[in-house]
Amino acid sequence: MSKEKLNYESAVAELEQIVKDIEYGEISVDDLSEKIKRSAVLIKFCKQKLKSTEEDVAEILKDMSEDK
Amino acid sequence: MRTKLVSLFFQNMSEIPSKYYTLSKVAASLQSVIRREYSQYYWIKAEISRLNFYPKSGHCYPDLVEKDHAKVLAQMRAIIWSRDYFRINADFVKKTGRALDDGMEILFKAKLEYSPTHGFSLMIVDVSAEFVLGKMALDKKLTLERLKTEGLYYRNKEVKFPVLPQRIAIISVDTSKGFHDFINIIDNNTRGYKFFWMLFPALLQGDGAVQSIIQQLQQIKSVQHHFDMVAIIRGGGGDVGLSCYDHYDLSSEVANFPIPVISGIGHSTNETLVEMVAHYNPITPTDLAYFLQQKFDNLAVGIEEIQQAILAYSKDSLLEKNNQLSDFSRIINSETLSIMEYQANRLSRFGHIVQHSSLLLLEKQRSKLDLFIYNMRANSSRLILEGPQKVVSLENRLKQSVVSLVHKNEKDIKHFEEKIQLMKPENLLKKGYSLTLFAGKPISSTNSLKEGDILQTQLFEGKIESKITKIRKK
Repeated sequence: MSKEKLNYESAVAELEQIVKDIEYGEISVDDLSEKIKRSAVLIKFCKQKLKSTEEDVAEILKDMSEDK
Repeated sequence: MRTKLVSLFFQNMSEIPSKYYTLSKVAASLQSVIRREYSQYYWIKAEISRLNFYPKSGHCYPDLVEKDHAKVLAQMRAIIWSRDYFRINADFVKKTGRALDDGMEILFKAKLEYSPTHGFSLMIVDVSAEFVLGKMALDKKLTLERLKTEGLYYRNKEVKFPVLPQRIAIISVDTSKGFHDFINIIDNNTRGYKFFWMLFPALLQGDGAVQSIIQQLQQIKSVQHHFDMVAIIRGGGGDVGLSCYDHYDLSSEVANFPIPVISGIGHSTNETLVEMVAHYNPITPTDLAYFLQQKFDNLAVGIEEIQQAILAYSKDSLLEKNNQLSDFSRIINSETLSIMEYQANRLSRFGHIVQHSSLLLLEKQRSKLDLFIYNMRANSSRLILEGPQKVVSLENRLKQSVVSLVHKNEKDIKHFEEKIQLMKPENLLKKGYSLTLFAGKPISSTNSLKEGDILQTQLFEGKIESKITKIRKK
């Protein structure tokens, strides 16, 4: 899954699922390392997301003029 | 005087009047009548169609009107002199939160004035703030009820608040203190959170604000995918001009807005309708900024917790799996041992059983054999003993049979002898029977005989000769 497709909400939802899976032990050792790798990516994404935004005023203004 | 003047006018309509008045005289007359007849102040209700405030002089020349829907029933000019206006307006603003303005229905205290040069006007010396206040409250109440009836009241509150409220469309003005407070906090937060905001400038108070804010809301709606929420930020403007936030058009626009609208209008009076229907109302711009920062804090903490949880749980999980493995090996070990032990026991038990059973079996077979041998022996000696006896017995039996058979035959013979003895002719003759002979031969019928023949009769002792005298045939 590429970083572009992620959003904060889905990332958190996925993380919560991973926590739940691990918490209830519904995970094999094989999956565990995969899940931990994945959660590291998601956590990094979420932390970054809190501290960055890709919105651009110019783009919004362009969208507004197109809308009219 | 009024009546007289009027009649004079009419009498002289078709001819050149001999007597007439100058306008100033009429005006002066009118003025004196008005002064005499309308000497006191009256409370009058009317709508300000235009306030006509002149900032330079500070005087107001409101156009007043009374309408029945669109139909004008009356209109009149009014004057509020500078000193009255400032006093009235200040009191009015203080009590109602809004300045005297166009379109406002007011109850005012005024005196009817007539000036020869300016005509009729109402000189306003007081305006009842309470009247407007009551009317505003009533309007607000009705609008609130309408919003509820139309199902708008909770609509924006029901819009899902974004997990990450990061992109904010701000409706405010660049000069607003509240706006600057707000962006200061969110742009310079110590945790390094990044917010994106864009200002959509609008009038924030007064009657123009309704349209201005609605227009910007519509603008935001056209690019709503760029934003997580809308913040309406005022602040620093005191409590004046807030009535626009009780306006139906603006409240319903906010209520209907597709993304959450958060209000930071900042005032100390009652909550306005816009604030009531907004998704959330932290009241001041500063609180709004802290509210967002708090949301981010919660998210950061949440992520931290998730990270910790994943760490802890995965450790636990690995530990658990490890324990499980050692449990497995322990179990396998002990199980193997116990299985082997069991099998060993079983084997030795089998050995015992086999040994025991074979002995038993051997013993059994041996006794069986013994018995057989014994039986055989017993039987054969019996047979040996019994053989000659049987022969003797058979011999005896045979002898007896022969004797009895001989005996029986002797008896039979004797019987026959006796029978034969009885059948001898001498014995018959002795008994009286006689034998008849003809020509030396015994006869037994008359057939060959005739009368006159001589017959001989043999008796036991002696013979007789006799002649046949008669023959009787049978």
